[in-house]
Amino acid sequence: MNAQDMAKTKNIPSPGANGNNQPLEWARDIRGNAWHDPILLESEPPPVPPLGKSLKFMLALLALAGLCFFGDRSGVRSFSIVFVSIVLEALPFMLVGACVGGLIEVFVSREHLATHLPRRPWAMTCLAAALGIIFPVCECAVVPVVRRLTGKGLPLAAAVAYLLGGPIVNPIVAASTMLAYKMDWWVAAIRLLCGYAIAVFVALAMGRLFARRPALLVLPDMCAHAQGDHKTAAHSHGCSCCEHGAQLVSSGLIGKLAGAFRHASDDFLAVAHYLVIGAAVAALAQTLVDRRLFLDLSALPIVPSILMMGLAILLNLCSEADAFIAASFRGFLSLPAQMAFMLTGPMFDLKLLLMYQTVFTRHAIIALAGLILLAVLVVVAGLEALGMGML
Amino acid sequence: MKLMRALLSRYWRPLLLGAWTCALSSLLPGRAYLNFLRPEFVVLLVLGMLVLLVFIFSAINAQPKSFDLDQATRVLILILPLVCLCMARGTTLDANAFQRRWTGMAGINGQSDTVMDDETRNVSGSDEDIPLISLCRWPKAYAESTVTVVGMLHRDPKIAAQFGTNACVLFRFVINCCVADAVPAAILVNGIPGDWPESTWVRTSGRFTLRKEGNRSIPVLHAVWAKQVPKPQQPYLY
Repeated sequence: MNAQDMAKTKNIPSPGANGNNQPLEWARDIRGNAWHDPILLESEPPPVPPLGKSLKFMLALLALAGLCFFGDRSGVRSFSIVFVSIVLEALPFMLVGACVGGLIEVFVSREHLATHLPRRPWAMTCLAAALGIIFPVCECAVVPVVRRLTGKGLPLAAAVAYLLGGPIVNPIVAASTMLAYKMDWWVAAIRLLCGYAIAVFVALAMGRLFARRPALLVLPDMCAHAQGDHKTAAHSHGCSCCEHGAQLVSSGLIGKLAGAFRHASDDFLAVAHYLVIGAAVAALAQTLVDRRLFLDLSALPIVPSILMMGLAILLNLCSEADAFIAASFRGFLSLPAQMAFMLTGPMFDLKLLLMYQTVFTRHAIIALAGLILLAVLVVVAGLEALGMGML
Repeated sequence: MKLMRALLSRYWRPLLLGAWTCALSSLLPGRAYLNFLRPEFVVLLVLGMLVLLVFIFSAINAQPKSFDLDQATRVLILILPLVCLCMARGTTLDANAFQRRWTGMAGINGQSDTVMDDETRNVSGSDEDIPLISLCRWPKAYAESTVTVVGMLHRDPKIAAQFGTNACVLFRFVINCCVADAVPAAILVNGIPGDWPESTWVRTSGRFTLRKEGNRSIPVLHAVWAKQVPKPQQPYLY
């Protein structure tokens, strides 16, 4: 289904159907340069999250949990406590992230974004990967923000760079890592530097891999003609895909704020169920997986790092807390293995895997996951080759 | 049926967000959130509630959206944490979770320095309970002194085989952000009655020593007395 077909099914004018709107005109910046490759936003499947699959998945998960916990009330309690705590911990961050996304949607125009970002793709990517230093976010909050930024035309590479770099390259994570490692500043420094390098590498690779293929989903409430600023005349028609449009134009600041929160509320409800499913899987893993199993293989080269990457994917910990878990493996596992845990978790875990479905196409998610795991593995192997010993 | 569908189309989002707001607000009285999060998170919970309230007003004023199977599924999934919250209320991680999370003597390897902060130093040597986490962090500082601690009981056949049939583990969980990242702080205890069930909360006192095992010093409490106690108001350590 292409953009015009999608527009037809939504009963909205398609880009190019109107003589005043050139095809995909919104995909060019104010200087007239192709800023956001149009192909990234067309030829997409309908942007409806695969909830049917989610339901099957959730039912299967619950069945598995029921089987595992049959007759074991203690296990059910542990599962419930961990499940609820993960959701409660992530919820405020996700709500704030959704609000930031809503405010970006309403107050930041595409032209504004294009004007203030570097024009060179690599410079934009390098900058985006370090944006967490100024706008610290955890991985739960960053997804709704990136979702809105990509809707505004932020290039794929820059979006991926902020998505991966933001939750690691930020002062809060640096502080928590130092705290967990008894103020060993260089552990935090290695983590941030490696995280930054991986974010930039994966982002540039994604930009290259998907230069001619769709990678980003169109937001359900962002029709093709409304990709621009809310102040544009084209957006004041009040179509069903974006019913607040007319209000925003006429209502001033209050109306814009109301629109921002409506966007934020929609974003939250669109992403939150993925968080819940991810938290359930993580709680199940935390209840069933014995962490001592990871220690039995610690003598082998690189295997502990791979296992720790697997553990990070399963546990779904917040990037601001995972250093404490990694530090609990000191004395048993090498620093590279601990680093594998701290680098993988904030970029890719089960919860994020599901949440990425609201931003990227399936192919893009597969490529993203593969590149992240590969990059972490290479970095960890490099650290081992450098002779990083036991801490 | 039509009316029901129309009402759901109009109000499912405010109702769902309202249920979440109620769930968050129910955690505040009696500091029930401490069963899941560390104390500082109360600020974030209140912030979350405020944002949810704004979302509710926003959703009430929004145009109705269809309530189909997808939306119903989404609602069911989003209700699941609320159901589990009811199930988990008043409970804590127990010996079952300890078994899964304990990575051996990582937290009690006796290599910690003897420097304590002022607060800990004041507690040391008094009749008050010493937090289990202090014994694990600064074992040398407490070595050969009499201490009183509160923790949960765990019996492990491997530990009994290695340290004697009377040996068991006294543990508490230390939270960094939430229970999901809780790490056990544990010491070995000798002298707890063998018929006390698993996961019992115990207050015990005795001589605290460091037992050499290879290149490690394992903290051991030789209990003089022990009694079962109710769950502490703050079951987790921070």
